[in-house]
Amino acid sequence: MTPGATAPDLMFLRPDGTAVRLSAVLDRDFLLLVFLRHLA
Amino acid sequence: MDAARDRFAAVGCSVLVISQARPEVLTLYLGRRRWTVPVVCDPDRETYRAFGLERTGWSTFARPKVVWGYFRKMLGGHGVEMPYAGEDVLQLGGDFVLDRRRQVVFAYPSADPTDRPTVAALLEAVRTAPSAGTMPAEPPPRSHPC
Repeated sequence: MTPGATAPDLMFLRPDGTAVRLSAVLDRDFLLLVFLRHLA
Repeated sequence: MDAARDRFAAVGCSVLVISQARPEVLTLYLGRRRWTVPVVCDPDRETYRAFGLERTGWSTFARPKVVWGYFRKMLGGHGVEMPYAGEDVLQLGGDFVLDRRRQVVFAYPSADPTDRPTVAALLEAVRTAPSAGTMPAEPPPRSHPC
């Protein structure tokens, strides 16, 4: 995904296992997505 | 990143952390460590692939830059821990800034396991990000992990 591209409305899982769409967390002008390698 | 949440909020940016752990593992993890930013997961790593985040090879961990990166983290008080169940240690991470229309205004896929942009670079990317629908910002030079 490069600058200028539009991200699909991808789905994630909350810790309780329920699904959440990317669009549902866009509550400000910008959203920083931090993809972790691992939790440690 | 958790400590920088207020600095991102001040420039109109929310933070969402994505883990590749399974929900039940993430729940256990978050029960031991309080994070103030929302953390979600994608155990199938579909979103990782959608954002073009690659898997690296084992030989990457022998590169001097990567060894030095882990050494520097240990000097900073961060131990090297074993991955949790279901996590792919070869999966690389990355940092992306989207605008309200889900348009990518900043992209930083990690080139190796220790390669992350600094918080300062991420904040600058948000501050200089164009309004929705205009030209994207240039990525910063590769630097230290955040």
